[in-house]
Amino acid sequence: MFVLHEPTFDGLLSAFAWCLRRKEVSPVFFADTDQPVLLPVQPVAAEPGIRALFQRHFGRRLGDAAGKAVLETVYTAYLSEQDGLSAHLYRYLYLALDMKKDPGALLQDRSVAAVVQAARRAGGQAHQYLGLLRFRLVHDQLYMAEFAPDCHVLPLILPHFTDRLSDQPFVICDRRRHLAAWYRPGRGCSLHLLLDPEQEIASAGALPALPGPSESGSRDEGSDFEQLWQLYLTRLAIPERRNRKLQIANMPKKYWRYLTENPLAAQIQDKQKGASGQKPGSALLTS
Amino acid sequence: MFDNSRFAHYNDCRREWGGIAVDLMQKLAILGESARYDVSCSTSGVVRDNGGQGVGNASLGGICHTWTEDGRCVSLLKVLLTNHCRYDCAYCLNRCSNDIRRAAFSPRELSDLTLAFYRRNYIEGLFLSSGVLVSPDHTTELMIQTLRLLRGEGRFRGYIHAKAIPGTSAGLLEQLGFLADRVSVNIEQCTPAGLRLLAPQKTELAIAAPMRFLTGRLAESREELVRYRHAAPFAPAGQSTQVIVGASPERDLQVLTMAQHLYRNYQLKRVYYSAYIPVNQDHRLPALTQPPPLLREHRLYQADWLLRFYRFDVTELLGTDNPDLDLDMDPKCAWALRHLDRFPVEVNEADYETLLRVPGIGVRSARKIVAARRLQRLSLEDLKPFNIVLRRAGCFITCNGKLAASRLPDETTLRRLMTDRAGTARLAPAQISLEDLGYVCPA
Repeated sequence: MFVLHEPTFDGLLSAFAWCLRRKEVSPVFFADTDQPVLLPVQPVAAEPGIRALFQRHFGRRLGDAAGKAVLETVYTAYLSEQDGLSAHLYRYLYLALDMKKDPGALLQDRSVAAVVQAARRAGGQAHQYLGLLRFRLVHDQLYMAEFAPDCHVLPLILPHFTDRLSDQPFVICDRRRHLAAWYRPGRGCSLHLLLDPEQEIASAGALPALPGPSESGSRDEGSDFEQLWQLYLTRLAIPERRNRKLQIANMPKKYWRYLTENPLAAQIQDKQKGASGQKPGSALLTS
Repeated sequence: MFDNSRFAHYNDCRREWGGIAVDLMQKLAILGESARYDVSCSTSGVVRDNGGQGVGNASLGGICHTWTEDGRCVSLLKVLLTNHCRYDCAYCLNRCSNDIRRAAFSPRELSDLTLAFYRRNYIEGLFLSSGVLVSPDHTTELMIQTLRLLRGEGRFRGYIHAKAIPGTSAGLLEQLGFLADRVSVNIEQCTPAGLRLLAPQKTELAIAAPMRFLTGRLAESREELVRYRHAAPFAPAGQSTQVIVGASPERDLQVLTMAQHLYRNYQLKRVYYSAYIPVNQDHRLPALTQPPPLLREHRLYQADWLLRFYRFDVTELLGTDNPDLDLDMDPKCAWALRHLDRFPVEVNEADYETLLRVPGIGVRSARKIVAARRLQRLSLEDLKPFNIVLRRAGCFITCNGKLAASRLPDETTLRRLMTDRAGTARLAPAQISLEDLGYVCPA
């Protein structure tokens, strides 16, 4: 059975629901943005309220906690945007209903292992960005952060920041997917599409003008803090324990681009100043 | 609503405090550098929502915000309130006899700086320590003043780790504990002789008394929270300590025995080990040219993990005939080589405790195995998604009676196989992470 679904999570869930109702064992799923398929396909439209429907159904069959855990794993794995995962996600849900429990422990199963691994990848990257996202002040009261994650982790990290910085308006821009999440205290969070690099906003200019995509070293309105932070980090490292390999292992270079304290920039700066025998970060003190 | 204009004064920030005029940048450089030998940077162990009551929250698993050039994670703004100190501890950069630049933050400066960094997501919170200015009580009062500003005026709900100064009175410790998430007292030396030699102004009693007070108060707080759900928690992330290794001739057996004692009797969350880095010329200390014992520190952390998560007892790892850890291999491998009669174990039948003792199987892997085999027996081919280090575990396990290795290696071959990268690189020891050696850090 070949099933064509809308290219959203709700679209995929609707296709899953269609197959589960018919107890299909191994359907093949295509998003309708994929290459045309020269086979007869069954198109399935996204059903409104499909997530709530799944929550109710899995809650009844597995119990509330296990049902919630299964759907969370599937959603997180979906956000990894890994190719060819749809069939594994379907089998994961199928197994859950069949076993009447969370199949996450059954790592011997290829589909379960693939889903758990994908969820772990997206969840792990979301956790990294909880620490590695950097905000800068771009307007009087507005903070902005940029990143370009491999997985679509924006929905996973947003609840953390809206809780943590609940009194602070901010925008988080996903430069890879051209998405911006705008949070305003008391008014909640809204998602906007960034149409072009000049940060024009799709939704009728609702979002204030933002700086375009930037490299690290971009200036914060209170740029003293960027300098203070860079200086602080150079002084915190213990020269006798210097271990760049460990630093890179913990914080791979793909995360560096939007960091205020881009280690590469600091390294170059220190090399330039190294000839004069200054201490790391001493250039910042004299600036 | 957060008012950014409060921070405008930083653009022209020249302040005078403690008799020394330095601008904020210089203060941060001096006091950050002075604090870098404090090891702890953990932010785990407490969960707190913001609840619309200001800025910040706390995440149970902790969050790392960046890594410095030495590979250590930075999650907290780790600074001293002041590096003025009336003590003259031999190993300390900030001792009063050292001719170094001194500085001090005012409580408001530090509180504002913490908030500004936090709002930019540079940090998870504040790690506040201090040299001893005037007296332990006076210094602690200044620390409390800073934390009150943060928690009160700044409405800060992020993580705070506060160092308790040995000799501080119980009343002030109580106040500190209600403002901070974690409180720690540094033991510094694991033997009384080492303490007398290297830190003559600190006494065992002055260190043990605040630790005992904190242990008792933490137990009371736990009981209060059971009875009254809304009782104010006292240091909800518990207490920790730090010990320097390599500054005096202590043995690993002494260090780990003390650590186990602290875990069991003082309910400490962590004991941190800090390889002594020679910063002072002193006849009581190793020479300045001696490299820091980083590999020994690494092995101590591995052994510490075994005590906390792998249900080992220190007497199983070390004894009077082998008082130091083997630097060539991790302590679990060394233990397994001394107990070859217990292996191989059958993955489908061994209990959880036995699985934990197999080299190459960590806590998470053992849990996953136990959960998976309830549903279906495991074969060797199934083990890949379980994150087992098969290079090591393969010599110690069977699956359905089959040995992963083609034959059981003899002890010499096993020893060679178990010698890890850190062991082979002994001549040029470098700091390596536990994950390098296949350990999966439990949450």
